[in-house]
Amino acid sequence: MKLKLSPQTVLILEAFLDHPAEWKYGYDLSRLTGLKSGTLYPILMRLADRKLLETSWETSELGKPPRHMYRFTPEGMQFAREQRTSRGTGPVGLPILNEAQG
Amino acid sequence: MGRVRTLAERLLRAMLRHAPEERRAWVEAMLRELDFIGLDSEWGEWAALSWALGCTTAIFRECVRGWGTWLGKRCLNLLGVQSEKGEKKMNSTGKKTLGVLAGVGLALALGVSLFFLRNVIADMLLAVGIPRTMWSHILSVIVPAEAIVVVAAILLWRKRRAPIAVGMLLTGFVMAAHVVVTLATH
Repeated sequence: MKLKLSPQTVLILEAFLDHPAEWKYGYDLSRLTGLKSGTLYPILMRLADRKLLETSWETSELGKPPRHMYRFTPEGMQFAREQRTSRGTGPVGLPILNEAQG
Repeated sequence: MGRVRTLAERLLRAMLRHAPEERRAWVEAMLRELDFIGLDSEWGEWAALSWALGCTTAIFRECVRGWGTWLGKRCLNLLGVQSEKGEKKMNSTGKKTLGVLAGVGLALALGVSLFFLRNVIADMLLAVGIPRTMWSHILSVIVPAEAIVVVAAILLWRKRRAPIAVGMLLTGFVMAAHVVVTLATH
């Protein structure tokens, strides 16, 4: 699958790989990866467009607006694992990339 | 809700109204996240504004990308490449031509925008006491336009978008030549 894997995309894939079955929110991903919204959302959009991420609206409590959530599709999980293997890095690589982000 | 957070929310609501249909859900998602940003921080309001500005930039870039794709398809059609299959088969000469044309288009768009803004710029200069002369026009409109074209061309070149950079530089050169000829005839 052709997808530009920038260091920021790698960070996001790694963040999802930590707990692949869990739904994640945009702000939580931003905090986890240290990416600003202007960088984070285009990558999420691209991943969702390529069916690597599935999105859903959280069923909200009364009076609370719903939040958008994201998690890997089976294809996304396979893709991320393949990419991790081909990069030859495990989850250990994540803090190093985080440091590079400043 | 503080003023800064309100401003951030208004910005995203405005984006929600103007965003392309296929991206509205994403803007809605960005807007919903705003309620959770910086709640535990002293600078939370500013974090929310920073979030909204980032989201606005992201959506704006998506729009530009959408227009670019649309324009690219139109250009491909003009070049005689009709189908998806044909697009894939497009040879490198065609791609380079398209890139140069895109560069020319971008530089022209910049030039035309600044041309329409020239009166606004002149009024702003007048407000700070700089009279409207030929040199003030050159320094406030033409020089910045040329500088933007050159910087954009260098950045594009470094990003391996050489055909677009060449197109921009060609147009910039023609614009500069036009200015020189105008000055010489004066």
